[in-house]
Amino acid sequence: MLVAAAVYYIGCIAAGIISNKRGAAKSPQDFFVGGRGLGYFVLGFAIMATTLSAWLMLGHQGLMYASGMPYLVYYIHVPAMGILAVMIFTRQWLIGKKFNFLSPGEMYGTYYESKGMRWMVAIVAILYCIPYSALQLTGAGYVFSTLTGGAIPFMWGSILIAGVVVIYVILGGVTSTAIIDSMQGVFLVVGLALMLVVVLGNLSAGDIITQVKGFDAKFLTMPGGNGLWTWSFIFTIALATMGIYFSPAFTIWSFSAKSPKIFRWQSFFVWVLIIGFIYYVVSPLIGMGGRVLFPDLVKTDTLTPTIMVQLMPSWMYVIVGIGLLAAMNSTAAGYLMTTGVILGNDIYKGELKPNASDKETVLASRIVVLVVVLIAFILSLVWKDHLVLMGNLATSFACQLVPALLGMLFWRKIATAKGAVWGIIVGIIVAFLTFKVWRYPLHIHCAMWGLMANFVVFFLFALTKKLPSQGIRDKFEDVLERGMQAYEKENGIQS
Amino acid sequence: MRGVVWMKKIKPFSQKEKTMMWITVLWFVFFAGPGAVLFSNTKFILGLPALWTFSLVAWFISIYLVYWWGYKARVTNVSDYED
Repeated sequence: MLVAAAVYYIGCIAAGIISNKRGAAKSPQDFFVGGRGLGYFVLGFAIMATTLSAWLMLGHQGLMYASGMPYLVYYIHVPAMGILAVMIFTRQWLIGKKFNFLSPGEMYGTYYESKGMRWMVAIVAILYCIPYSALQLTGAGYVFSTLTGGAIPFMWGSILIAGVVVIYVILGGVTSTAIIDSMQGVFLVVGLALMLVVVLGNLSAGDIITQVKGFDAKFLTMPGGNGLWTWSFIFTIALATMGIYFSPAFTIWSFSAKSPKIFRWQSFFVWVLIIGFIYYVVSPLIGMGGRVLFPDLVKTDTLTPTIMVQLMPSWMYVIVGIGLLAAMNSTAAGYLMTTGVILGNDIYKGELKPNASDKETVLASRIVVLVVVLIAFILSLVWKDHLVLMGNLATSFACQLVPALLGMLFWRKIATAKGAVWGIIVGIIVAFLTFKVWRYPLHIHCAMWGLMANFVVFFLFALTKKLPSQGIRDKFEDVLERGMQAYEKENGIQS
Repeated sequence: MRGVVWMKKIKPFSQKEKTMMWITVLWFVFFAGPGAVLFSNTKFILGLPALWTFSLVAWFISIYLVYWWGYKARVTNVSDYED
């Protein structure tokens, strides 16, 4: 396992070096948005890998084990995100290209004609990316230590992983992040497939379903084995999870595509077909099969390591182990890159030093990535017990850009700068209160409470009718209209 | 640019897209929780637990919905153009 991990990490660093040599960090356009040249496979699997993280292999399987069938209902968010992606990614791609935006803050700040929006995007990015990256580093350190049988202690595992991620992100920017993320996405899918193979090698699908018939009714009916999955909780957490696609990281992916057609390919083939199959077929078989094979697991999120240790031959153990590490790397890298882009381009160049040269801006972003990973690492040591809390909240914060982005893409007649800014502030506060102080009131997830409060503020400010200037609204509208007309012309569609 | 004769304004959503939007919203609302209450029982449908069958149906419908919004809708598709 140590040798395999070493080879894997050397490969990641090599990919960063090669990307750098090929000019992936020559200019801000190359560093921040991959030269707007990421192709089908790389971007398609990178988006998947950034979204999923090692949670899909660890926590998710454990939740399936603990909850039973009601957890499956929550999976509706997977195809719903596929639909959402084609609605919001293509428009952002076009806007990014035509206005030459290099970062989400630039896009929001330009449309809303508001410095406040730039800062809010940066704050959302920090509140989301740093805790989530810290979670990945913690998880990676723990996994690394477990998989190497303690040969590499937890802290050194985290340091090693943080170091590798920083190197390839700093060297190659979005391009190397995307390339390595896409490979890691493949590892993730292969890892899950191997887990299924090994479970089915011990128990056929038919046997699993026969055994499920004898399960306690709580694993077949809502709210599930752990009492969590009421319909209101499922509905609101599914909506909140979809909000992740509105976070700054995915705006950067949108800007980086070579063609807008990549998003529909990604949504249909990668996300709904492949990942949908994993969620709807593979996961229940692993989770329920795991419950049959290991009925007495006390800590349910140890299902995956238990399967690996007790059922897998060495070669499979190594591949799945690399898949686990890869999944954590990919998410951490995606979010570290996002923070680097936003704080480097939006805050350093956009606000603090507008005359900064391209070289200086890229350097600033690299320094930000380094500082952020240090903060994430310190958090992973000092706040280890609070990291899950922060991870939950991080998702709630990520989706607070929903009204602002929908306003810019679709609701330009009611979207105001103050509505967007104050909506985010109120949304973050309410999300925090409904997690920390009054946990999930009425079985509604805190992210949803935050989003509802956000929308209320957004629509209230719409009444003031203080929209961005007609000029900027016209420019955005024209870009989108011409893009849609160009698509019609290209495809011979009569409107 | 606005006022230029050759560029006509496209309606944001065609009638078919509006219909599909309603279908998509209803699909989500039904399958994301409230509809699941109806299938929250210990029965088995087509050999699988009711909630699993219910969720699989949601997925199968979504495959068509994602295909339609990605490949058939106009409002979700743009192309590059010469400035």
